[in-house]
Amino acid sequence: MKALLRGSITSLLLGAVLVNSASPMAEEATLDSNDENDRSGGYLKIGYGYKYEKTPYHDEKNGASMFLSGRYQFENGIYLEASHGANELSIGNSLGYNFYNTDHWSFDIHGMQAHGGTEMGFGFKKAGEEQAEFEILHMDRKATYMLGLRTTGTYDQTTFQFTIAPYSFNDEYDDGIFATAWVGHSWQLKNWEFHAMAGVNYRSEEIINYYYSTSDELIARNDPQLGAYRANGGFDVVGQVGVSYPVSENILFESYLRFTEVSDEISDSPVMQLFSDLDGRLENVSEFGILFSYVF
Amino acid sequence: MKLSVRMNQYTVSIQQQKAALRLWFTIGFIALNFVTVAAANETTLNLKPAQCIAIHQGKMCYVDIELQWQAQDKGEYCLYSSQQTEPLKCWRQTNHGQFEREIVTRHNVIFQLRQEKPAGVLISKELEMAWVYKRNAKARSSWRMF
Repeated sequence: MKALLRGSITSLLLGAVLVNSASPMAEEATLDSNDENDRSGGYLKIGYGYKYEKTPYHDEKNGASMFLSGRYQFENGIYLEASHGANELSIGNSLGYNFYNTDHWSFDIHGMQAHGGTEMGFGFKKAGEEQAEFEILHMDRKATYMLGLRTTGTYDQTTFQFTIAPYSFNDEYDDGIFATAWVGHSWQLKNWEFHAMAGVNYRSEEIINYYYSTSDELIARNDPQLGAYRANGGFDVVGQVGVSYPVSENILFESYLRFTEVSDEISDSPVMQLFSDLDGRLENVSEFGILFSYVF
Repeated sequence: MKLSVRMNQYTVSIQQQKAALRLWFTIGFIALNFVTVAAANETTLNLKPAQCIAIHQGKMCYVDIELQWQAQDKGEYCLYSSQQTEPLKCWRQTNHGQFEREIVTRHNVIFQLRQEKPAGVLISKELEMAWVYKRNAKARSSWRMF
């Protein structure tokens, strides 16, 4: 049933592209792209500042940080997006095709990273061999890039964004489903811009189990902390507030505070419980940044 | 003997250059005096700052401006802006003035100093809009543009 559903969604996505290029709607969209609905163009932002981050995924970060973000859309609708270093709502680089726009909504075929690559190492020593070296077992997983449909709606100062991605380029496991839903609102006070956002990221059980279920090699060690684990699909819940101020025509000051409640399906995983118990780590993700960036 | 001739030629050459230098100094001195007199006759209008910077193109921009003007003769002067038909401020029997105000705008604003009698625009300055993201709101389809 799930395979059928995924197949249908993929067909719908491909169908949307074909319809767009072959029907009168394509003409309308092309006309739109020449007027006020034109989304072509973009920006590149390179920044430097202070970042604090505590997460189960890596050691605490507390200090200077560089970041880069950008978006560029060509006139034919193909776009590139990048987000690295800080204030990342999406992970890494994305590639897509903006195929239809209305006054309030844009529709994209969106290729994105649904989960970053992971490298986990587990050290084992036999009882009574305290002087011996640790035997390290690795549980490394490739990043998952997925293809789906994204729509973004703007109503005055409120923005909505929904993504559903049923097709995975990671051939190490069956396709899962990655979906996101976001709402954000901004307020202007003089030349300061304040924003608040809330969102959820859904990953189906295939994705979560690929990254967070205990590997057979680890289970074979019979360690009571690393038992077998099977997860269901789970939601990460994210909230963020932030502020921006234009220092000059090209220099932007930004500060943000974000909290991510990691899905219980991930947090309850034996491997994640081991990592989140390490010094400098938390079960959830807290992030704070003060950044100055140059905008091209 | 050849060497001596060259030396003489060199000496003559130097003297000619000194004479030319004196001429240029004289011309420069006269020109500078002329420019100074002309500057004193000019009406000036200084605007600070000259730019209003907003994050997104199309959003309102807020800036506290200061305008200072100086004219040669005392008289009746008024300061106008392109945002309104009424003058921002008028002065009587003076040749200088100052004006401060918060400007809220989406577009460039032109300030003009006008003389009442004889009526006419003496000088103008433009407050220019600048944006970090120089696109319309629709182009900000990226979520990250908040």
